[in-house]
Amino acid sequence: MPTTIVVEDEQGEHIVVKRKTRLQQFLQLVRPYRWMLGQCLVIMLIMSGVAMVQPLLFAEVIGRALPNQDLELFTACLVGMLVVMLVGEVLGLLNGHLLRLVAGRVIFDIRRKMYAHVQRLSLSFFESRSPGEINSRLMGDTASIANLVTGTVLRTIESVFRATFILGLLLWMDWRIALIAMAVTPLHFLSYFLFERRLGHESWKATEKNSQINGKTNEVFDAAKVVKGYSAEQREVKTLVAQLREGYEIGLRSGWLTNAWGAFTNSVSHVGSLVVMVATGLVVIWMDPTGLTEAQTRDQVQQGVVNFSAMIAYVGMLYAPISQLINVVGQIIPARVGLQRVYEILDLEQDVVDKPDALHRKIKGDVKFEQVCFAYPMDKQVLSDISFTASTGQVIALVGPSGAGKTTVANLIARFYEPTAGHILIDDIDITDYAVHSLRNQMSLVLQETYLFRGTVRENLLYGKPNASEDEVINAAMLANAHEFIQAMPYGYDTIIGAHGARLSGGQRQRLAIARALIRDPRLLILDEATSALDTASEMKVQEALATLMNDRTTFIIAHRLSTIKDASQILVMEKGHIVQRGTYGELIERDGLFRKLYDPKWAKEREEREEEELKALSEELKAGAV
Amino acid sequence: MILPKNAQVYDLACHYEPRSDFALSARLRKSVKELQDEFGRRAWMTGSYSGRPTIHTDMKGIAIGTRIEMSTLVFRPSRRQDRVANIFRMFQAAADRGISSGPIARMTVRFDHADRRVDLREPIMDAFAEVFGNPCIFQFQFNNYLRIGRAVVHQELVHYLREDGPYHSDHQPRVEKVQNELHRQPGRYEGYRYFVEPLFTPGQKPEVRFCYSGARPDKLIEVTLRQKSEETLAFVEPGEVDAAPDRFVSLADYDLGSRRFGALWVSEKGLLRRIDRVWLPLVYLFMDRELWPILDRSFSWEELYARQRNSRYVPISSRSSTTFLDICIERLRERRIILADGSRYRLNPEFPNILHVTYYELGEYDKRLS
Repeated sequence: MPTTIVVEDEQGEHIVVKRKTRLQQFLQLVRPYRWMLGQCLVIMLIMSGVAMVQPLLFAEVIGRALPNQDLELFTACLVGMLVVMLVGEVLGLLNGHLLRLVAGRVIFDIRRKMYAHVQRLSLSFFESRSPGEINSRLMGDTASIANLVTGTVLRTIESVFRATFILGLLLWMDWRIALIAMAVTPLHFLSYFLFERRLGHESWKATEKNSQINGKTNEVFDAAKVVKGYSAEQREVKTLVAQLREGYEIGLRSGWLTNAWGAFTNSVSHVGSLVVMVATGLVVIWMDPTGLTEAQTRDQVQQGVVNFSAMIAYVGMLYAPISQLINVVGQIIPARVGLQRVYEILDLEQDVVDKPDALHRKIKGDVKFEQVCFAYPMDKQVLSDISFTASTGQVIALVGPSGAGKTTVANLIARFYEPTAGHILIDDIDITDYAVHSLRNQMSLVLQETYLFRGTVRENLLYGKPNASEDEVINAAMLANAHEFIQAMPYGYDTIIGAHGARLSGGQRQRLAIARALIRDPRLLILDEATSALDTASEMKVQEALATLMNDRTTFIIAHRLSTIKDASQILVMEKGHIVQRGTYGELIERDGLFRKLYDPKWAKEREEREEEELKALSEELKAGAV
Repeated sequence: MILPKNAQVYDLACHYEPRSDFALSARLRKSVKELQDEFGRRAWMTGSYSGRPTIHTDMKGIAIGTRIEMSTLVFRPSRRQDRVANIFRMFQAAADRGISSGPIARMTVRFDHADRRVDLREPIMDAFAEVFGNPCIFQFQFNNYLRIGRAVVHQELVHYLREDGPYHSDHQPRVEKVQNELHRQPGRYEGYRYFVEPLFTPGQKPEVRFCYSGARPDKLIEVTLRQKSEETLAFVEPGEVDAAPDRFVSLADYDLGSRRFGALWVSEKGLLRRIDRVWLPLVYLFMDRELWPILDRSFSWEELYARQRNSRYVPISSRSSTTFLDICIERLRERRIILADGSRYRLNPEFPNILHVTYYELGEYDKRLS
């Protein structure tokens, strides 16, 4: 059971928290399959028991059947061995199937749970982790947990059982020989201290290197166009070769250590077997026949040979599970790390959570920012004291240099984050009072980096509104000026576009993204550099379409192009997280300031030239010694 | 192998900057032999490398780099510095004689418990200073494996966390802007060195003064930078800079020292460890309301969890996560920022002395000022 702890928060309220250890987290994952695992364990134990019979039968053959030329015993032993082998194989097959079943289901469960959880997490999660990292946890770490279930845990139980059983058998046969056999086992454990840490380091390095190689190849494949554009194929090959070579060297070192460890433990096992062989052999050779008849002596010798054969076989079998037990520790480490990495994600909560009585209502589209501030945790202020009002039907343009905070404003409207101070009101109701889903269902975002899914054009457009009719799809495409090029495609709306829409031009991708946003008929439309990849003609057409659409909704446009923002109802000029200017285009272009610097190239050029002339004059004055 | 108590083996390796046309020619092999005769010394089969220098080639990107390795066995503690210095001289000689692919890029040292044994690291630091004239620093790789590099010390870690030291993130964009302008038109700003002088009043946000130093003041530079970066530069006599070098910080160093993103390097007794900023919120849990470290108290896991739930330094999504707390504790314990005291945790008593630094590879250190 997880430890239940009660912690007191700063307000003095008591919170009950269930703290689970890694083992408890692990048990929680395998709990649904405990009966199947139990079956596996029973089968493994039966297999271990069955395997014990074989050395006894073999010893009978060597010790009795052959010296006495007893065909009946010989045949019985061989048949017995055949049966034992067959039973072992059948049980092995069954066990393997059951283990695969459990492993498959455990992996399936964790991946489903994790994927669903990740989907619910806030945008900040995706901004702070690379897709490769999330993917590595979803695919790689979950697999290591499954290995722990099916390989390590059951094998450990089996090894403990088998070693105990064999030791008991040896003690029963001859306790002195059993103690001799056990005398070398500390050397097995010594090998753990000699090799484990070094091997652990090498394994860790190998994992790191593999992950670097994966990252590099993913990056290069993703940027195939850039690589080819810069004729950097050979350079990339050489870079990868260098990394592969390092990986190869690490692999060699870890392989050498693994082999050396194996050779050491095998040598210890051989020494143990040899010592037992000497001891049991000497028992037979030095047997004192005084007071025994010839037949009794022969029987005693035969019994000695049987014991000799059986003990040698059992001692060999004793060392295998001990070595396995030592190796288990090395297998637990990556699985433990995997479990931790998976639960690190599963433990995360959403940044933006609905209130219990959150509103699900249709909005009109009036947006009001009241002294809004925003900062990421442990980071500097991104937005400071932002206030503005946007009424339904208005187009608000946000302009300014990179890093000014424009996209953060858009993110706050979409409620990807909560402001750290101030209030955002939509229709005079605080944005935090709305249910996130209800709010986002009434807004559309079009970003500069358009993401299109692998599938048909229609499927991509329907992503905005899965139940949209054919007319709505075509209408949205026409409004976004996309209908024409879609029709020109081989299968029209049913044409499959590659991942990221790779078969389309940048402008086409952006027009599809705009159509996908328009199909929802949103109350709030946020265009973050949405038309930056369009050519002038296409942009004009999209602008016309948007102009019609903007009439009864609130639109926020983040753009650098003057043509995109010129007709905005209000332009907010941002710099370093503040609004430094506001007004219409006509008002702002007349005033000296950042907006004019950004959008009046003639004025900016004149200003720069004036400054350069001043500098030149100053330079000449300096040369003349006037200053 | 059983060695006398004071015997110590150091495995040292030097990596040189790669060169595209480098090849291990017969002439080079002969030169390496000469190096072996000159600097080699028996190591009696101890260490990872031999007691004689050996050269290897590594493929790095589009060029080939070389690595020279050598182990040394020292019986008397008083001889450690000499022996290590001898190897450093050999590394230097290889670069000077053109045996290597290029100048020294980085060095590594390997010996048991290298992360804990300050007494065994000291001879290496002294030997480095003896040969190269500068102090070195050790970057932690593994318990027995360190990288030898250089570091710029910014401030104590506690001041970084409180943001009340000479470096402040608010000034970082300003410094970056000036740097960008200097790089945009390098010719215009040649012949001068550019600095930031932090004006630091304890308990208050520091201010910075942009300075430049050279033969004589240049009005053109001052006016241009004021126009382009909106910063006013003050001229400082070179003598003034040389007299109080600690007063002035290069633009690159200030930029790196005031960043609140990227890797965070901390140094404890000359050993550098990298801290992921994701784990830093845990350190704040060991601080009081005024953000001063609580050194005289240990915390149970439950207490830390309660603090985590209410800390504004912990990301909202992780505040309730027990795994997050477990991971941060584990990672910061590995890096000795916190110590475990049974089932309780406390800040390392050396915490006030832990420094926030920027790590540089040997070959990179001097380039930062160019």
